[in-house]
Amino acid sequence: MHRSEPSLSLATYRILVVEDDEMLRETMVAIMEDCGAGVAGVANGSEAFERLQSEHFDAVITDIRMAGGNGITLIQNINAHFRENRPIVFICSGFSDLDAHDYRHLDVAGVFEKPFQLTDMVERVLASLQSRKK
Amino acid sequence: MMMGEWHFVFGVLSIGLGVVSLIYFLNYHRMLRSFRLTLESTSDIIFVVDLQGRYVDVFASQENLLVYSRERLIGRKISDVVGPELGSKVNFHVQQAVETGRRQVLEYSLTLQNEKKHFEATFERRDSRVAVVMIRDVSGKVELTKQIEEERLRRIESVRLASLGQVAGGIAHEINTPLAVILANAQQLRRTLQNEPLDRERIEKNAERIELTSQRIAKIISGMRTLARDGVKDPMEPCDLAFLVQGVLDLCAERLASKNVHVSFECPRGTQINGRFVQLSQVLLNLVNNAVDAMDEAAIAHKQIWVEVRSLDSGIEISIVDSGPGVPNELRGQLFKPFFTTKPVGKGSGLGLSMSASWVKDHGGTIELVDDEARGAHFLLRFPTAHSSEV
Repeated sequence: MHRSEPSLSLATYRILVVEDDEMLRETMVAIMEDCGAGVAGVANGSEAFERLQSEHFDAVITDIRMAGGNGITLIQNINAHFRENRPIVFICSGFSDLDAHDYRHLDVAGVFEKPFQLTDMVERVLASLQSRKK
Repeated sequence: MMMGEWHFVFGVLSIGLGVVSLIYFLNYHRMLRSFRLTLESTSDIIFVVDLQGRYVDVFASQENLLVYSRERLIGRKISDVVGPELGSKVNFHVQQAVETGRRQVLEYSLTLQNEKKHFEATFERRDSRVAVVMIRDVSGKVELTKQIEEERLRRIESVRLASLGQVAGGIAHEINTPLAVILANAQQLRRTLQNEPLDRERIEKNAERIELTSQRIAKIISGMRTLARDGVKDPMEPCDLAFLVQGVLDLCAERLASKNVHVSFECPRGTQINGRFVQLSQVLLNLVNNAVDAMDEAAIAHKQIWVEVRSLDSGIEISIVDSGPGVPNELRGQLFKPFFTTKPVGKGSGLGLSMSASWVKDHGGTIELVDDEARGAHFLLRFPTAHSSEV
């Protein structure tokens, strides 16, 4: 059986998904795992930051509005804490409540507006990770 | 007494009679003149109507206020002119006025020259057979009252929609998340189908997620549709409070999360009140929105809302409490007055609480602000217990 689309491979990358909606989090984790990545999912910013301090992740995809530690605070903490080994950060959010200038100074690689395209998300995360490796 | 003296007495008497007749005659004309003056100044119509329901006389400032001309009206039966329904009402009031001697008032409308006109008729007894009916054209006044009422309803409508508007942004956001779940799972499903052998377990998982999430969206939409409805004419029926309050909190979930407001909700199982589900939900939505605004405005660090339902012998109590700054003493008296607001210009209509108070009253309940120094603003609603339909 042939594959109609080129397989996107996130193999060897570790990704942290931060999303308070359980079902969306599970789905995102499953998608990334399908593409070969090592994925962990957490429900809020505080949990995410704890995880980041004990494990290495190449990329973080985070929601903004979450009960118990929002995404903006998480990104600020990441920026303050990490230097060379800082993970690439993506925002995945309802977005409409967020002005462009709110995240521009936060050094994020991209924003996925919900509902997002699955292939688009994987492609853009992969592209960012590969371009940094070069 | 001499004959000449009798002549003199008769003479005086007949002159007196003549003078009385003259005075009566002059008075009658003065009366008619004053009728006309009244007519000209206030556009009235005056009918003299007998107990048989016939026009005895007619005075009108403008002919176009009459169905027929004066000449054609006199002697006719009222019910033949304005129809049996209004005719019998007029007859009834004429009889009442004549029999009791008390003034009667009747408001009615009539279409004249394709224009609907409103009239106010005052019935006065003139003698044992006839009444004088003074009629004022109050179409302008009725129109104004109608406009004021329409304006009032429009305001209530705008308050209702504004409270919904406050959560609508959150709802759009809240629907985007489940949409993302559906979209991602559908795409993943398609990818899975491209690989042999089929991973049935995964396909089942994707389908299940799509199903559950679609139901979640349907629930959000139905909650919004419920509150967007105007529930004023809904029948009073037993409302389950746990279900009702949870519905309101679900609707606000996104707004509460974005403002970082924690909610605790307690309600004994099966607590019901008799009422209009939509109106009661709108009252709660208002109070929750107010609490969020008050805490947000005051930049409270730990924002919390408590919704507590208590079932007591005396009735049902619902407390909505926030961890905000509370209401200053000097403002308490004005809280439920229309157009009173502490919110910035353009943000609050000042009608939310007064509207809520009147709806709660419609339900036989009360709403008040009670002291709660440990927390913040504490609104207490009291309702009579619903009569259980269970035997």
